[in-house]
Amino acid sequence: MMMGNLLFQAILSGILLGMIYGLIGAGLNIIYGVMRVVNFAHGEFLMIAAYMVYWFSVLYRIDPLSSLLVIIPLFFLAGMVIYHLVVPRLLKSEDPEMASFLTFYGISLVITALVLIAWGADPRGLRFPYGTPSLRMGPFYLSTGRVIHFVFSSITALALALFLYRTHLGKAIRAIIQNRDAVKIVGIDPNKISSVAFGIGLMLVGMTGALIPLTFPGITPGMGASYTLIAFVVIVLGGLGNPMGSVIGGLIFGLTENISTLFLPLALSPVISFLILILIIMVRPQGFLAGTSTGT
Amino acid sequence: MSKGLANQNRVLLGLVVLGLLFFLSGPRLPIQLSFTFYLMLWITMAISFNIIYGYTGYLPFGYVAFYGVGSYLTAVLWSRLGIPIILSIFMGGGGGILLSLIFAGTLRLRGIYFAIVNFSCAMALRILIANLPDEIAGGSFGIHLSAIYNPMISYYVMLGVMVLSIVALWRVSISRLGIALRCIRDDAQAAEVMGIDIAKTRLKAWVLSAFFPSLAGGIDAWFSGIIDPASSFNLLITTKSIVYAMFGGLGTITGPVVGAIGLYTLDYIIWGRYPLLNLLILGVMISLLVLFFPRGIIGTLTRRYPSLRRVIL
Repeated sequence: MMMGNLLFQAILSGILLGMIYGLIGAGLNIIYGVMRVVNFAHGEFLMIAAYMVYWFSVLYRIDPLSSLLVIIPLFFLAGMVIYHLVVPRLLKSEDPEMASFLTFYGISLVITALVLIAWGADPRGLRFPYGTPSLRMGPFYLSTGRVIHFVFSSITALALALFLYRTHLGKAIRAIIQNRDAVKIVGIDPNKISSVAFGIGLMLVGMTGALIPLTFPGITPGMGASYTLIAFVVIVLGGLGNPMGSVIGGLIFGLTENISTLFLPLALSPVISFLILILIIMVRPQGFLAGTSTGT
Repeated sequence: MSKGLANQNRVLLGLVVLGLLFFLSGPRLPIQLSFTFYLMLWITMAISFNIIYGYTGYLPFGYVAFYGVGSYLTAVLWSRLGIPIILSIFMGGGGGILLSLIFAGTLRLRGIYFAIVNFSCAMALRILIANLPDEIAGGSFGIHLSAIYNPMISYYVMLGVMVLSIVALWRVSISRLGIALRCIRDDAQAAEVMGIDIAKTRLKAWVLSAFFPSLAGGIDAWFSGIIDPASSFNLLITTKSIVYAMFGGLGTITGPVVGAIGLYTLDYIIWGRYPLLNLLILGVMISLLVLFFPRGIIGTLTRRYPSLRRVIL
């Protein structure tokens, strides 16, 4: 009975976190799918959003959900600006994929260093702004912050799906993911769509980052790397170039991660994400990553 | 022209002799020994990173794993089994080769998949080593080797390994293996049609590029007298290898040497005073290099003055 309870609790938090992971992955996936740019600074953008929310709260007493009104447009615009500054140049290099990977890795170091210089290495925490921090459901406890984050992420995922499958722009983004050259024939400007896609990618990770303090309390300059890693695990699980697949990937990863903590010592739990990543890429490179350039 | 070439060759030979004299007299120079030691270490790292990335286009983002495994094997063999330190270092190098053979299966991946899988392997290894029982690998506190602290001898062993790595890259570069590697990097299908065994050729470069960082890791453990998971598997070790090799010029012999000398000197001056600034500068460097200076110093020079190619390789 005890084990059953624990398992149920792990499944619940796996689903709550999985949805959040899925959205982080979806942002990375759209950017990679549309322009084959590997945004290795994805987690650092999330970290910036988390810090912004922290400062909004400390300086102006604005809660995370309200700060989204600023963060969403800001990250969208930032994405478009970064796109125009970096990506066209990267796409011209000999090996755009590797070049983008290294460039964004450099950007991730720059962001981390700047945050360290500005605000130091001490973890920051947000005072929980929405009533009681935990909800009781029969014998189970749920973090209110995670439930709010989950609900918000689910709505966002639904909106993303509607956008990608029902709007002209969304269909253009999916078309570019499928075939970058062919879309020119039907009069789509890949450059324009790519900049929007980069904006959406950053917007998604910014939204998640803004609410991350509700889910995981500590905000640190070094937190980005683990989210970048999670995003990669999620997109190889859900399929590269398939943004909505990332949501499924996120749920699978969230469940695996949380259930495995029941059986593994806590210190070893980060190994899970690495092992999943290695295993999937090695075992099913074509299956999960359909339509990309793995394998020889 | 042949006379000019001979003169240029003499200049190059002169530079090599000068460099060798500099490092040989390192302990007597009015420069901190740790500076010259780590200069040699980074030249070795950049040179061997170049063997795999510069000559095959494979980017092992978890390159630090070889360095880390070398330093850990050396420290464990010496402190737990009492094996003499020099022997432990070479067994550490052997461990690096073994690890590269274990990872050899990942060579069928390409581009970003290879980089990410390699990175994941390195990080998983780091966590596993940190979680080994303390009696084996010292846990998160690591292992002390201060009992055999001997900066002088470890310095000269490092010098030997650096020279070995440069000679190895030079031999590879002018051999059939080097030509085959370049063919595969530029056009794998054409190379296969020409009868080159792609998998075997890549594997040779991979093993070679794993050997030297493992040795360097072991010697560094001896020189510095302490190892722990966080510093032996620090991702910045990969980063610096990439940046130094790229700054000098990937796919060339002199490039990584020039890059490591130039940037490590800068790094050393800044690092001592402002460690945070160092991280920032590394990040800026890697982005700017990829975007604006992908060929590096030597690559740009030989492109502008093709006749130099015969001299500075």
